[in-house]
Amino acid sequence: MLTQEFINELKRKFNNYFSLKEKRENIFQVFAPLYHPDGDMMDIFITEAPNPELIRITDFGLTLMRLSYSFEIDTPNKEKIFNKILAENSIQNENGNLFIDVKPQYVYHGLLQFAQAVSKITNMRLFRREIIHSLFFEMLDDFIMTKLQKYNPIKKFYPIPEHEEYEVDYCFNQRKRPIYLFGVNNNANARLATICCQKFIAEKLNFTSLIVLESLDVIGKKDQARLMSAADKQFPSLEEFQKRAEEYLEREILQN
Amino acid sequence: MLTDEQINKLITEEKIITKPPKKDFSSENQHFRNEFQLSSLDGKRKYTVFIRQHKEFRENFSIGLLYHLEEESINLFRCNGNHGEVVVDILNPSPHYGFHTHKITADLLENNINEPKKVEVTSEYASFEQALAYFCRYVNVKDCSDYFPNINQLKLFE
Repeated sequence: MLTQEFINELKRKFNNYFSLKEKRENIFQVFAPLYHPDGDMMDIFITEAPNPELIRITDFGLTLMRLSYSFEIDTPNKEKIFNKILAENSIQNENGNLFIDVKPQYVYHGLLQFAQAVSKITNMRLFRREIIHSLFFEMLDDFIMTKLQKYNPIKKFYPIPEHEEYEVDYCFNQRKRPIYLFGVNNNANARLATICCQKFIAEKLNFTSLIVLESLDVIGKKDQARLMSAADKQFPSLEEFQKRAEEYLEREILQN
Repeated sequence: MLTDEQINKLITEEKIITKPPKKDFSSENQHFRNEFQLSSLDGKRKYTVFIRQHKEFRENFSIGLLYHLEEESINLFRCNGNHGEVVVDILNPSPHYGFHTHKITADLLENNINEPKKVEVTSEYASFEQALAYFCRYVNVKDCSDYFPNINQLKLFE
């Protein structure tokens, strides 16, 4: 299958940083400067394709094995992203075995394309909840300060100036009855938002409270119940807020 | 931020199993897998151990220790099989081959790198079974023999 001439040609294209080692009969492991961030070389193999005119570049399922150390493709959304990466890189998936079949003259191109896909798939770890979680306020801020700029948002607003411990994440005060927005992505800031709303009510402030949750499952049921009874309006996710924020603000401004 | 000393203490402190591994490894895609949860003896620190082994290439395996902080998890230590080449510095490669371990360091964390890039070739094990035994000894799992019978007998050259 792999003639010396073919291997030499690949070697030349990889500037001599290339070799093949027979891992099992007719399965050749690629040794080339294609590494994961932890220093392990990418697990890429060359073997026969069912079509004898083509060569199969494959990982024998080792990319998904590596990904599974700290990340699972266990939701429709993650699966959608995974399939998109495969489709965009012309990679096929057979029971977790990722591969691409190429003509012998395009093995070099195929290897680079395949390595790119492997890299993107292993980087799906960056979609872990804790990372997305830490991006919540950044994404909320970015959305408010760009898309909702026309409503003059004020960041870090203190409705009771002498009590800075009661802080509002964003205030929209284009109308008599201002809107106080709180971002919530865990139980602790759900409780803080509840306490702030209750304090403002006790101080008889004229305001509408608006909660943007990262998602419904980031806070416990009791915190959710307390927040619901204290706040006027809640968006169950950042995505929902991004979709409906303008419409909501327009309606609120018209009403007051 | 963790120091190297703290990292080593976390890796080697005494731990007990709080959620045991499944009796049989499950099969997923092209690999076998198992997991179990650990905690420090005072129950304050939580860990997960992941175990993966390729179905066909049995020398391709990984046994790792994740340390759970409030906001994230860090892969502190990993035992790898003899899967091919590994380098310490990608831009100054001096490749190693064979069974090896990966460890996180204070320097890596300080530079915002959560990948356990400190690689060391090891002669502590030469098979998956020996690696599991070595791993459990090294990360100091006190009650591992309750779940992995004969694990304490599996030492290299014994």
